[in-house]
This record gives sequence, C-alpha cells and structure tokens, in this order.
Amino acid sequence: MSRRCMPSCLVLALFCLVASGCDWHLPGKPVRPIAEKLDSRADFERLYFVNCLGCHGPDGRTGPARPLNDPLYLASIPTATLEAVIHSGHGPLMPGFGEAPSGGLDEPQIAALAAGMKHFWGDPSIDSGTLPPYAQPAEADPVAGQAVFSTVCASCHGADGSGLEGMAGSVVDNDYLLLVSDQALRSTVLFGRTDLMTPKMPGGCPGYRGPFEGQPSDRVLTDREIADVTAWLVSNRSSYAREGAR
Amino acid sequence: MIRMLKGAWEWIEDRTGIAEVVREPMTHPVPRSAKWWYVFGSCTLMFFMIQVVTGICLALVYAPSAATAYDSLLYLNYDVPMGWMLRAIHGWSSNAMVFMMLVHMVQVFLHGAYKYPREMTWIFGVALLLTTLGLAFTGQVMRWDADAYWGVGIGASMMGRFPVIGGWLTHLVLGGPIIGGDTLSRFFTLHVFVLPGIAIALIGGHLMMVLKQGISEDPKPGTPGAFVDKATYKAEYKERIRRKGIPFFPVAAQRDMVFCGVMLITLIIVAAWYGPIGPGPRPDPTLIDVTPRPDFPFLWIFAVLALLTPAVEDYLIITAAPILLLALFMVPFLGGTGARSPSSRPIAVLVVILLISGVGVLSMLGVTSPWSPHMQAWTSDAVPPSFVRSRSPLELQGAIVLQHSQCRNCHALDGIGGARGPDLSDVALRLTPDQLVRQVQQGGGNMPAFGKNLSSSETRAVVAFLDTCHPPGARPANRPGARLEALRELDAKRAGN
Repeated sequence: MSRRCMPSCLVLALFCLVASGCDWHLPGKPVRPIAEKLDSRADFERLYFVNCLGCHGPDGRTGPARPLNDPLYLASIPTATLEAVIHSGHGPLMPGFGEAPSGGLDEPQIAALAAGMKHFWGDPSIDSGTLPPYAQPAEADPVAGQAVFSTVCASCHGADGSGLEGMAGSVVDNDYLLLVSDQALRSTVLFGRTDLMTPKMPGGCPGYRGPFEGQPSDRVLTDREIADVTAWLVSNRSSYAREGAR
Repeated sequence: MIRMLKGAWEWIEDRTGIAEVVREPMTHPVPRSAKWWYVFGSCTLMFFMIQVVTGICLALVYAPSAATAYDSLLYLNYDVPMGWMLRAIHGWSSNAMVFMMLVHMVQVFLHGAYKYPREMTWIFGVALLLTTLGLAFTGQVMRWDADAYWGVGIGASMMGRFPVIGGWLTHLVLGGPIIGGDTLSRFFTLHVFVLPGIAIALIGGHLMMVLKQGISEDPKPGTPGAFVDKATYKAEYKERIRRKGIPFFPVAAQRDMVFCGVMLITLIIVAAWYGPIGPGPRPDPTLIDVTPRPDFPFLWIFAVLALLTPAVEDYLIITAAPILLLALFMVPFLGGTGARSPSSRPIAVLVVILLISGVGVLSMLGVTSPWSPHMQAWTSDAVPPSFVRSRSPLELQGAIVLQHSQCRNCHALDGIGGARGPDLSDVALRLTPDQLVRQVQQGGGNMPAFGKNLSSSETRAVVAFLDTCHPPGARPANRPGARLEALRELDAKRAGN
C-alpha cells in the first residue's frame, strides 16, 4: 500500500515545494494597488469614460451636451474655469463632480481631466488671444443681436429662432432656455455644434467663423455680434418662469 | 532507536488500546459494490479538515474587530508570506466543501441510500448541510467588506420580518439595533467556535450512523439490496456484508484517497490561479456604487429575494425556509422503503433535475442581477450618437436630463444601461407624450416618481427627447387626434394622385 502511495505523495510534495518557492510567480497572488498615476492618455480616458462620457459623448463628441473634443473651445476656456466647472458644476444640468456625496473626483483627478482635455484634444497652435473672449461682455444689444440672428442663423433656425421643420429646432423655446446657462448659449454661438451633422447640414451647426448658409464664405461674426446674438437669445428667456422654475 | 520507539508505542497501545479503537471502525466491512459513487462524502470531510487547519492559521493573524478586520485581511494578502495562499485555500475550499456536500447529497438521494434503516444518517447529513451553510455565511461576513456588510444587513432585515420576535431576533444577530462592532464579534464567535463545534459533533454522529447501519450497496435493479423491505432488509444486509464485505481500510478507502488527492491538487491549483476571494470594497454604507453579491451558495436566495413580488415577501420569507427544511428532514419518512435505484424512481430523478436547474438558473441570475441598477450608467454610458443627431436643442437638453437624473441606471438606450426598467429606445411607440409626463412625474410599475426632482422645464425636455425615441419611420404611439391626422394624410395623398 505504502509503495503505491509513494508516487502521488511525491507529486504532491513537489507541487507544494514549487508552490511555496514560486510565491511571486503565481497568477492568483494579489498585487497591492499602487497610487493612481494620472499622466497617461489611458488614465485620462478612464476618468473621462467613467465620469463625462454619459453626456459629452464618446470621444468627446456627439453627446447631448457641449462637445469637449473641440480645439477652439478648449483654446478659449481658461484652465481654471474648466476645473471650476468640473468641480462645482455649471448651469442647471452640469453636476459638480468635486462635490459628489460619494465617489466624487478629487483635486488631482479634476486637474488631470482638465489638463488631459487640453493636451489630448486641444490644439496648442491656436492662440487664445486671437479668439473672441470666452466670457460675455457686460454691454450687449439684444435688438442688434436679433437682426444678426435673422441674417446668419435664419436659414436653419428660422428668422424668429423658433426652428424650421426638417432643419434645426427652436432656440427660443423657453424650456430650452431655462435649462442652459448664459455661458452655454454664448459657447454655442461661438463654437456651434459642428459634431451634429445631418444630411441637410453636413457641417452641423457652425460657430462664429461660419460658413453661414446664404452668406459670403468669409463671413465671420465680430466680437460685438457674438455678444449681441447671445444677449438676444438670453432675452427670450421668460424671467417669470426662470424664477418659478426651481 | 527503532526498538525504543517500538517499545514506547507498545506501551501506549497496552495502556490506551488506541490502535484497537481505531482499527475497528477503519476496517469495518463495506459492500463490494460501493465504488466511485461513494467517494463524495470522504471528499467533503477532507475539505472540512482543510478548513479547520487553514482556519486556525488564519485566526492567528485575523483581527476580529470592526476597525481592524479589513486591514488584517490586506495584511494577510500582501505582507504575510503565502498569507494570500492561505486565504485562497480557505475560501475556495469552503466553496468546494459546500459543492461536494451537495453532490454527496444528490448521490445519496438518487441512490435511495437514505431509506430504511439509514434515516438518521440522512438527518445528521441535513443538519451538517445547515451547519456548513451557516459556516459559509458567517465566513463571508469575516471578510467585512461591502458584500459582507450588505449580506448581514439583508439577513438581519429578514429576521426583522418575523412577527413579535422580529426586533429581538435582529438585535440578537447584530448585537445591537444596527450593524456595528458587536456584529462582527458575534459572527466571529459563531464562525470559529460554535459552528465548527457543532459540525464536528454532527460529523461524529453521521459517521457513527454510517458504522452502525453500514453503507448501502449500489442499487443496481435486480441485485440484492436494491429493494428495501423493512421486514427483511436489515438481516439480509448483515448477512451479505458478513459473507462478501471488504474492509473499508485499506481496500475500499483507496478510491476515496485517489479522489481526495485529485480534488486536493485541483483545489491548490484553483487557489494559486484565482487567488484569495475578496475582500471587496470597504464596508461603507455611504458608498452606493457597489454591487454587493453573496457567495455562490447564497446566490440563488439572493435572486429569489430580488425577484419576489413585495406583496408575498413577508409570508414567503417567514414560511419558505422552515417548509424547505422540514421537507429535507422528512425525505426518509416520505419514501423510506421500496426500490432504491434511480431508474425505478422517476419522480425522485425529476425532483433532482428540477431543483438543480431551478437553483442553477437562479444562481446565474444572481451573478448577472439584471434587477440591480448600474450606478455608474448615468455618467459612463453614452447616449448613442443616433439618439443625438437631428434632435432639437430642447430634445438634446432632455437627453442631458435623462442622464443627469440617472434614468440610465435602470433604463437602457440601444441596449446600453441598466436592465431594471424597460429599454427606452422605442418608448415613443408605447407611450404618448402625455403618458410619458405622467410616468416621469408619478412613477409607477416599480419606478419612483420624479415629479419632485424635476422642474417642469426638465420634465418637458426629457419627454420631448423620449418622444423622439422610436425606430426611424415608425409611427409613434397612438395619441389624441392621431387617427384623424392619418386619415387627413391619406386624403391628401389620394387628392394628389
């Protein structure tokens, strides 16, 4: 009996020896998680995929919310503003990820997200000084803005902004205006939604550089016109409803 | 030297008679036909012994207090040489023990080995099953991670459903009204003192019964012993064993040893390959984006609890367990005599098939748990671009509201998102805008009401978006005036022709 058991005993003993000797080679050995490094594209994409993708779209485009993978937009927005928006949220719908009750983003992660967007999606050759200012100036004329709108935006949104069937929807709908901030309106006037291409609008919604349908191809909105159009869009928001909305 | 040792052994044997005591049960005669079907019980016992040994080693390091338990597991995993292997073997061996016990039980049931006169063997076995499940559950709590925390919480709230004594039972289990430091101490005491003690006693009883009533023969139809008749079985069995039996050790035990050896090597390979089980995320009740899941023996119960309609929960939770237990204990009294072979007992075979497939399907559901919301879906599952293009500004804001209000945690778009509620890709075919407003605001059908969380603009935006959710070209859900519109369209077409 003992002789018959010998081979299996030997195999077992050998296995135990090998197992204890190869402690560091075995696939099941748990590895202590190392502190997060946040410098690679993979780190940035992981943060973006978990936190931003839902609204801002896969690869930063074609989401319902503002495209972030937009070199002009990224050149325009100051890094501190971008970080503040990620941290504290913005407008009625962008949540503050630094203030989430649990599992929120910490400062290094927010900084990595903002820096990653600018680094991986931005274009360093764009000089932000040549762009219109990011923030809306205090003085703007809504009446003049309406006139500009009805010339450059009317081919898609209609002269009064209430939308054209089969083209683009209304931008004066009060519910829409109540759900977006003034800055979001300005950013859309500035940079458009070039990611939302349709067969009838192959370039999506253009930004301030056009091209605008029915206008000369070199037609570019001036700083003043941008401010006026934004002011006119904002003026369509019913102040009564704004106060009653929340 | 050898002579001295031999002398010492002879002295011990002379004074204690230990060899004689051991030889008697080890060499007891067993039927010659007890072959490979009969190895599962020994294997279960081997896994139990592994549990005892590795458990003692683990207890040397494990710190059973709520503040330190989790960290002591990390210490075992990362710092103690081969500590992770110890944890891995203990964890996988516990799974293997439950599994092997169930296999043993199915074999005993199918071969009718529980029938007269071995009823008590079965009853000890069922008690052992309960004890083992208790060990598995309390062992899961020892990990003191999110799974453990929520597992204990669910167990305690089940206790709380019992009328009158519910509150007292919860207090007894948790060591207080809520999960706290005392909770872990209680479960530790159960896991390392009480339940192993009970298990050892029950194993003793079980083996005593095996010795007293013997092992049943392979119930091949037509062979003696395949039919149990109370009047004659006992005497005939004794006679057959006396004439044809073989000693358990070393003859019949060879198969057990080979099987146990193979299982032991498998266990070590699995432990080395897959590593220790857990610990999962820390037990923090404020972290909601964990998906707690019990260990495999309890997955099917987890699925049953999740799928029960709330109306019957109370009654079923209180009555189902006692009824199931009673049924298990009653098995040898419900069919204690007659044919033993599975080929002559179709109902028994059917019961086993139903139980295995039922528990299997429920366990698989427990793994995928489609009823659990995906807590990350609202930020990490994109709105498919086809749902974004050609939408108006308001509809786009509606899509943002859909994400922002975490609707996606339960609802999918294009199959991506939670599976708790219906996929919204074609919701406009099912509900009119008015019905959508009502559903969003008031909830219903297991969906919470969002009326208080959404402004009227947000509701209108999300409904505007949802109303675009239908396959291209499909006619949206019937709405007031839709029929009239369709007729007018038809008229216009005819007029055009």
